[in-house]
Amino acid sequence: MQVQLGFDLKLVYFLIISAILFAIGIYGVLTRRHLVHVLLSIELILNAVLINLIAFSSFSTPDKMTGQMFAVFVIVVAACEVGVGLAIILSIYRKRKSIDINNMNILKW
Amino acid sequence: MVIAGKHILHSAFYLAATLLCVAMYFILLRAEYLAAVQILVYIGSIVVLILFALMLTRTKVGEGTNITNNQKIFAALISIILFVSLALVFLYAKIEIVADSASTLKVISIKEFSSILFSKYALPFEIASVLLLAALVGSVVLAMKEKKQEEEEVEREEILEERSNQGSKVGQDLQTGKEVRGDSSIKDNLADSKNVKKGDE
Repeated sequence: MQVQLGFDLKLVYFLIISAILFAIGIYGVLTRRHLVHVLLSIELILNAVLINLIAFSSFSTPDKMTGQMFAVFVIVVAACEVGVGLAIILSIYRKRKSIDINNMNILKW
Repeated sequence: MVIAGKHILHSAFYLAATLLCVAMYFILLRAEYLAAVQILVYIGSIVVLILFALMLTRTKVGEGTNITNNQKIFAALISIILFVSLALVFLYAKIEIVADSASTLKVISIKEFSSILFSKYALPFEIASVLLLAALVGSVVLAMKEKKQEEEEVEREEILEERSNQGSKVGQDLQTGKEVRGDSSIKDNLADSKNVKKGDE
């Protein structure tokens, strides 16, 4: 099935999009104070990586599909990470009544 | 939008929109199966999970005056440097590509995809399932542990209140009755034992 687009969507465009997403995610991780907000930013970073993987996979090795397989496993690991992270956040909230990341200094020496 | 939203709930919904756009990119890249997985897993479960966590942990951090810490300039600098270097690498690297534009990409059938997934990548698939199980058990343990303690505290408070209400003797009787009965089904038996003690008096 061929789709006619008005312009050529090159590989570089997808890579630039993923770089923008990645930079925004890094900024969010570094600046936010809310713990859940940090998790959201990590999701953004993971999605940037996914776009990269799939773009390279379908542009350079479409027969082997290595990138797509890797993307599936990345999604699985991301789901695990969010589940465990939210459980940790819940238990921290129950213990300290706060999810401000500046108060998380229990492990500080 | 995800990062700049004032309220954390808004940014969660913006995250859902962003993930939907990423799924559209997957469709453009001829990875329809992954687009479906993206919508189902990310928007269907992860965003909903985050919303649940937000509603369970209500604090004033998200709505306060200062939702960011004092590293704003530093973080902006780092992310801009990262973006520029990534863009330079992407623009000037020599990448071997088969297709020139996205409209001439090879369409990948889901049959091929699954045959590769279950033959060449069977072991990683199993490991991923074990990882999912471990994450499930781990998150349940993490979320349950504190809950038990909280319930015990609530029960203790109830007993204390009853002690102050009905005098010390009844309270002591209640506590000894609780110890005899053991941990299970305290709540159900609490009201019954109270009635019995009152009848005895």
